[in-house]
Amino acid sequence: MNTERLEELAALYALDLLEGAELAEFEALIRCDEAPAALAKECREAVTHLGLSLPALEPPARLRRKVMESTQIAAVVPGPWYGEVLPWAIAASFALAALVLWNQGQQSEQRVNAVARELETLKIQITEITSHRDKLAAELGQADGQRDEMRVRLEKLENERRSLQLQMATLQNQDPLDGLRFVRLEAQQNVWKGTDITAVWYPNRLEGRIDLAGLTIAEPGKDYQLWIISPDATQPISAGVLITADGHGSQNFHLDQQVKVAALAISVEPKGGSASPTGPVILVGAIN
Amino acid sequence: MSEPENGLNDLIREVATGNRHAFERVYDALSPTLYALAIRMLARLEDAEDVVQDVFVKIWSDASQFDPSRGTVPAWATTILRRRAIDRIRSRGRRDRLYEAAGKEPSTAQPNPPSPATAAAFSESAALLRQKLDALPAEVRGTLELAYFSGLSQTEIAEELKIPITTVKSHARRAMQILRQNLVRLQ
Repeated sequence: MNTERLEELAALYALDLLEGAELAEFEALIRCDEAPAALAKECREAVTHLGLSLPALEPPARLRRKVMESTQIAAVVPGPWYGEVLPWAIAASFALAALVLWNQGQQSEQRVNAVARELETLKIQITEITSHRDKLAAELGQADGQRDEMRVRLEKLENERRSLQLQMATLQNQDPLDGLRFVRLEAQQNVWKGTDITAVWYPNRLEGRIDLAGLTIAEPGKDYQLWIISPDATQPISAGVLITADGHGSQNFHLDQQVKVAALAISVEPKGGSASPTGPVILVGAIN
Repeated sequence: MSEPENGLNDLIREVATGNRHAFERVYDALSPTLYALAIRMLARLEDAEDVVQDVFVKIWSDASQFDPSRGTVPAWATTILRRRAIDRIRSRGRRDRLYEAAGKEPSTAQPNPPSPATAAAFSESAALLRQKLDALPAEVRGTLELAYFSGLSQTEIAEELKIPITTVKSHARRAMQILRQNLVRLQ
């Protein structure tokens, strides 16, 4: 703020012409800055001399009387008869009030202490309950974990069970024993009595296996030939020449076409076998 | 004023302790000036007396709050008086309008002439200052008087003198420079 503006504000301030924002601005300035404050004071003094420039006037005597009377009343309050007692009464009242307040204060303090103790007890209980709740929550969490684990295991077992059921169903469908027939071929001539030949037949697979134990080696120039007897065929179907090894071994055989098999038979044929039986039938076994 | 400045400060300190004699001496020292100022501002004797009475009651009750570092005793007293008088002027403005509406004139009376002692005590410095003020340009003096004695605002002075507010401000500054210069000379 420049000097001219400062002097202007100080002059207006001294003449009580400052208002609103200007007044607030200048009052803030003189509160925190000594130089403007000194200038304001000087201007106020100068303005005072404006009043002093007036010709003095003798105030009326009644004004002096009125001033003295009014200030006398303010200075010494004429007291009634209780004037001297009043201060003591007030003091006693204060003392009584203080006593009552002290008593109330004591009661309040006791009550506050009791409430504080109850509060402490409640805090401890809350802490214990909270701890117990946390423990239970942990246990619950653990149990939930175990339950989930059990569920997983159960689900896994269930899957395994379903899988096994499926496998079982598949195996049942594929039952290798389903329809398996055991055949015992019996000698048709005395010379072959005591020869015990067995075979199995898998109707679903159209194949079978024959055990050749006990069957001696065929005579030179001869072979044993296995025949399948079927009601669906007009003559026996060759199941192949049997290769024996002096009472050992077994041999597979099969059908190329789906026909009902009623019996198995072995005949002695020329070396290499025949298209249809030509030699004697030595062993026959019916299939039930 | 018959009491020197330091003497007035001492008296006010005594007044603050409830010293009635000191208060009477303060009254004697300040009342002619304050009364003259009140008459000049308010024109009516009864209003002037009421305001002066208010000022002395305030001096009596607030003497302990007087701070010499913030100004002199006369400055403090005249400031109180001016503010009370301005309040009364403003409230009277409303009251006068009521009188006017009722067709009545507010009462006025002539003040007592100063006693020889009072006149002697105040005449010399007051006359010197009046002389200086009379030498001011009419507009500057008019601004000063309307502000100080009539309690008008900047806007009201501008309207009264038919000048811009910026001119009111510059007149106030110019008048204050002269008053401060003469204050130094008077001291």
